[in-house]
Amino acid sequence: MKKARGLSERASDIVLVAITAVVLIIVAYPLYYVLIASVSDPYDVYAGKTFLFPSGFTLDGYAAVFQDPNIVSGFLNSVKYTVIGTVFSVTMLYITAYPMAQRDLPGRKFLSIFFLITMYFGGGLVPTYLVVKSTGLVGSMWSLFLPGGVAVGNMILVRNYFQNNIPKDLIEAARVDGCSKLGIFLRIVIPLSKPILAVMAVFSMVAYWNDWFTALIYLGGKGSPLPLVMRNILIKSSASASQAATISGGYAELNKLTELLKFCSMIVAAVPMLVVYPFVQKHFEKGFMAGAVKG
Amino acid sequence: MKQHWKRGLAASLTAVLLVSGLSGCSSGLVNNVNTGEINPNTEQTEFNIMGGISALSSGYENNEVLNALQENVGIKINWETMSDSLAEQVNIRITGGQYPDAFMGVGFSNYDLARYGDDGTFLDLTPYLTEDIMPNLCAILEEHPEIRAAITQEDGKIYGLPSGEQMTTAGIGADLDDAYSIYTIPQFSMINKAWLDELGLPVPTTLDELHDALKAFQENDMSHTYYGNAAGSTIPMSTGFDQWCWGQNIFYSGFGFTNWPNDVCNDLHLKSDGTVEFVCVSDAYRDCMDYFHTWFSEGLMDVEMFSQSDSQLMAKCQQGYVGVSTWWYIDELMGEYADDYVFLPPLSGPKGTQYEDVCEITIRPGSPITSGQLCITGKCQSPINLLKFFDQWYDGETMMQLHYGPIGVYFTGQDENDMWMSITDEEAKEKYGKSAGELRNQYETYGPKLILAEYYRDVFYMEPNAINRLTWLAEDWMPYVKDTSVYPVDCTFTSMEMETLDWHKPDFETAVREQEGLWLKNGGQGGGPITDEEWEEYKQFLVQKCGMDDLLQVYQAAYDRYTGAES
Repeated sequence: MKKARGLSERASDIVLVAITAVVLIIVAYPLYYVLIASVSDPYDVYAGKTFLFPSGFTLDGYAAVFQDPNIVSGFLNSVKYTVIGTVFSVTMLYITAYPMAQRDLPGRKFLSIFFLITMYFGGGLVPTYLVVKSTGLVGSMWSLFLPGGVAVGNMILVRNYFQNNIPKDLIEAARVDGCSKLGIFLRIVIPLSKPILAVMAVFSMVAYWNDWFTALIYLGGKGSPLPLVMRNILIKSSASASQAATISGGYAELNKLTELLKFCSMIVAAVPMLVVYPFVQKHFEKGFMAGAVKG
Repeated sequence: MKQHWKRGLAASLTAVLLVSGLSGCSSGLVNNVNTGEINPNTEQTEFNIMGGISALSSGYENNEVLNALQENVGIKINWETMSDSLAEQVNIRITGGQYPDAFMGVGFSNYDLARYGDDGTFLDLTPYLTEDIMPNLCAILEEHPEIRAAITQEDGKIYGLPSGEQMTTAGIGADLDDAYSIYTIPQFSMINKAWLDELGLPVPTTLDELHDALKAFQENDMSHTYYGNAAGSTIPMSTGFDQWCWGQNIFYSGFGFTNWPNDVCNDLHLKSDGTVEFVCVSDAYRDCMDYFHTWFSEGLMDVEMFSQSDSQLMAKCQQGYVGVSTWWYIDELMGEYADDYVFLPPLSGPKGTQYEDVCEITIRPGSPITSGQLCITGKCQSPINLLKFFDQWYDGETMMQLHYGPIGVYFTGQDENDMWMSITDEEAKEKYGKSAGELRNQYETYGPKLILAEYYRDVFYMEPNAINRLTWLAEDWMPYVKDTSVYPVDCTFTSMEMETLDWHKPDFETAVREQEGLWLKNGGQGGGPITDEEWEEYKQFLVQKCGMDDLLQVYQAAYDRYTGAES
């Protein structure tokens, strides 16, 4: 049923649409720019010749990326690490944040500080490596998940969500009805906290998808995830360019490919995330601010 | 109660810090293997070596040259190689005490060598440098005492085998004794001759003439009028700022110096009387800054010169925007416009000043001889076996194959002078389906490669591009070099001196560089020339905050020792 709309309402619609359109352009243009840059002559890109359309269309960059024999295994590894890592991280968040949300937890104050300290102080690369090594995890994929398993900042968000957004009366009622403590967690708390679950899933998904440094340090070149594979492609390309630069010449051409690869690898790395994102996004908008109130 | 708890936490944290700090030092106390005596053990025949590799290499396991060398001395090497983040991974392994029998192609600094030598991580190789164990290397050291001097630490010990590349004009027929390194003058300036002709201007020989030419490029918008690019796209002159082969430094020649980025220390200059100075506090330098600031403020120098990357410079040049720039090869920088450009010779100073007719290029040293490319660790049971393997590297033909590729693959045969000839691009494409460069990348090994200048004369030919560059260097640029004294890159420093350098050099170089940029961009106070107060303040800052005098003292002392040792 259509309602008669006043002039002011229509005017405000126009303004709102205009504002969102501007915001959309601001957000989408950089992505679009990288996309057209990835198929343009890089020197044209630097000379400012690609504004709306590619200049000097080329697929050399993508050819170089997809010719690499490790790209498929890198992709599969990344998917594996992201799925396992996300499930693991979210589980860890829930089983730490839920107890921390109980006001009658013994030693709660001490535990909060204990967690908090790790947010501000780290051991540094070498000591962390030594710890991971002495636990025998070096070379195993678990070295990617276990050392940073609980993201404390996220844990605090989840804890706050539990405290503020799950009605105590509901839990009380469940208990009166004879539900066990585990039952309350599984049947009441988890279903009620789906928005924050989605947020946490996206946070850790993105983190695991983009992480290459941990893999570089602990995996020792075996089972490299996608970003590491692409980094190697880029390094190879720039290595051959710089070798040409010193003596043999031909730097300009090889350097072109290196610059092109930078844009291509951004696109290749970002597309899978862009595809997955909309599926989680509907939960996301509800949950994003939900746990943000601290206290 | 609460207070106590906090104090307890603080105390325990402090304790943790202390303990970790102490354990960090204690590694210096473990068994030091460097007693100056030889380890006669020859039982170990399988070695683990960790180190760097070219990102383009196909691996050392299947490298026929390396495998043949191993067979010759009856050892087997297990390689653990990586092409990037090498330093982090090596540090982690050394700190964790889990290191291999040797590190190859890591490139340890002298500072690292001294430190790891002191605590026994690295083996002192001095007792092993004998005719029996290392005949090839000993012969070279005999003939080149300067190489031995360069790899010997202050305590008289040698913790690594020498490496270095002496690509010099000896390769194009110069006498060994007055050959110049390919790195002697890193920037070749070039100018668009077609634009000059169009405007009826001669190729400039002085800075004033170049100024007028740039002004004419700008006013006539040559990129627009001559190449049909967008209006206003002309950049009269574009370079990097203090960059290696694409900087602005060559244009300073009109003020009697060129302050190249330098392996020893930027702006350090050795005068012909054997004393060292910093050009960045000379009056000529001050006048130079004032002079080029006027160029910058007139828009003759690219406003992006301080921030652009070499790719960005190349992009501009290949669009035909740029009138004057610097690089090694014209065609590489200018792309399809290359035919319009010619080399712009070094220019003399502005008329009516004391710099009229001044045109001097100060030269850079060649690449150094270092000893951080092969270090044997205390874990190695039979250093003799491993060193016999590496002694083979010090033979011209073997080295050549390690650097480029095997005879029969990369090297196709010898000509009438017994010089090895390398495969051409066409042959390589036909036989292996890749360019000669790619073929070389596949085989190149990183390690203690000592490429002596005489190899290019006696063993194999240089690449054609290197020959071109050396020819230009010798014919077009060296004539402008009046004083060939240069601070030797092989000077060694005591550990005290290294501490001083480590402490002050980065600050000093950064401060000078930043101020140089500011002066070029903004000029002195209010955009005018640098005032006397500003100049004094700058010099005081360098002395008081950046240890300039200490640095000078260190460099002078090290140089005096160096010349004392040579004579």
